[in-house]
Amino acid sequence: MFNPKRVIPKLAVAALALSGYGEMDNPNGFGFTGGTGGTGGTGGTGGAAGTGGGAGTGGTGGSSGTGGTSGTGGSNGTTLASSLQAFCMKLVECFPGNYVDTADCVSYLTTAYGLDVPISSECEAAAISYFQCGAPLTCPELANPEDNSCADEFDAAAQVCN
Amino acid sequence: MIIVTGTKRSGTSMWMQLLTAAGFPPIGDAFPRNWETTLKDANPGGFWESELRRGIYYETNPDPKTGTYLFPEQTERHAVKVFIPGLLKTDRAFIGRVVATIRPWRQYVSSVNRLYAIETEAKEAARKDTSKPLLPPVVMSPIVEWWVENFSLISDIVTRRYPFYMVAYDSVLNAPEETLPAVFRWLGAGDAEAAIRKVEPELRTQDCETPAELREQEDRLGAQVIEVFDALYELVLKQTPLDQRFIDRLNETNELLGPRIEEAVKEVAAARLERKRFLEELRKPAID
Repeated sequence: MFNPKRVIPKLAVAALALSGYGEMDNPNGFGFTGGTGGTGGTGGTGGAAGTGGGAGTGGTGGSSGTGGTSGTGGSNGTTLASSLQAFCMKLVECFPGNYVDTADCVSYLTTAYGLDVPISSECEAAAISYFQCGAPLTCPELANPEDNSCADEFDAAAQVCN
Repeated sequence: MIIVTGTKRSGTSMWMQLLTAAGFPPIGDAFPRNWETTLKDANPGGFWESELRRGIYYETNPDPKTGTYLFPEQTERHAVKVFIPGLLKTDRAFIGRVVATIRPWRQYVSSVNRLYAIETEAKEAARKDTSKPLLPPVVMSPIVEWWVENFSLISDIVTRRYPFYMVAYDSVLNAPEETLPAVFRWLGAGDAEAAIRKVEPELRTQDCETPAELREQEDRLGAQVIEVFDALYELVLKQTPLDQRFIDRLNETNELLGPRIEEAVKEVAAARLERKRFLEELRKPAID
């Protein structure tokens, strides 16, 4: 006999994308968008630099020391795919005429930034930074990519990813 | 595995046909048992069903009849139809990706009633002894079934966080050129063009809704509930992400429907009992 579920648990993320994106090896990343990024490791004294958390992009390492505490990953694992998805959700909301839907936007930006082939870690980091920076911007800000508060991230991604 | 899920009559067979056309090996038969002669009208392209429609877990894998065990790592590219109650029971290791299809509730109710009519007709035709009554059916109220299954699916997705793509039935039929490439891109394989060629909108059997048939149900559910039912489908159709506010609305609606769901579950349990008694009655003369 089928026992129907009684409740849908609270979302761990801002929104649950219905056009699921993610990687097979990241059980937390699929279809979930807008998670919190990892926090950086805490600096220590002497020794190797701390590293970011495993899940998600993690935070940046702590300053050199005995290894800061590991940064914690994003609650959903902030990957290139999920940050791009979040960014595209915003773009589709702001510029509905430019893209058919989020998937279309993801496809377009993937090609535009050359993300559909193996990419360097610099490109990946720059792209994630730009997408994460852009997702919370307002629509008028997004309309002006070269002169908004993400202009540096935009330039960095454009430089290393093309 | 690539799991195709949804309620009955929500496009799961269509998705199995599309994935098969795109090159994914299917698990199941187009027409299992005698369905080609009895139920073909309900799905001319085949049902592509197997015992795994009840879920991929200890009761179905290993296969209880043959003992064959399917290993997760050997079936990653295989497409299999698993209805929502079965997906809830499926071991997480077998859930590679889930394509979930949803149909508007009004179409669903009409379509499932049509399926039950075909089934009854087929059983009548196949009955040798017409003096004996037909086996009583065990079915849940279609409208309750539509809600509890889709609600449970979302709950399971949020809980177990497997990769999924939720697609509206109408998107595939009305705009396959936009819908299918996006899904196949996400799957990372498959011949989308071949799948597009396979879409046959003319096979859709419930184009014309029958408001008179459904008006009574709408009245009983109330405008607030109907609004949420429609909003859920609209969200999928437009691929709008689910946010917490909407999840809260779904939970409130489920609470509101609680007594009706409970009643429907009890009715199914009673129908099962009646069916059991009926079968026992049938066996009695043979024993005497």
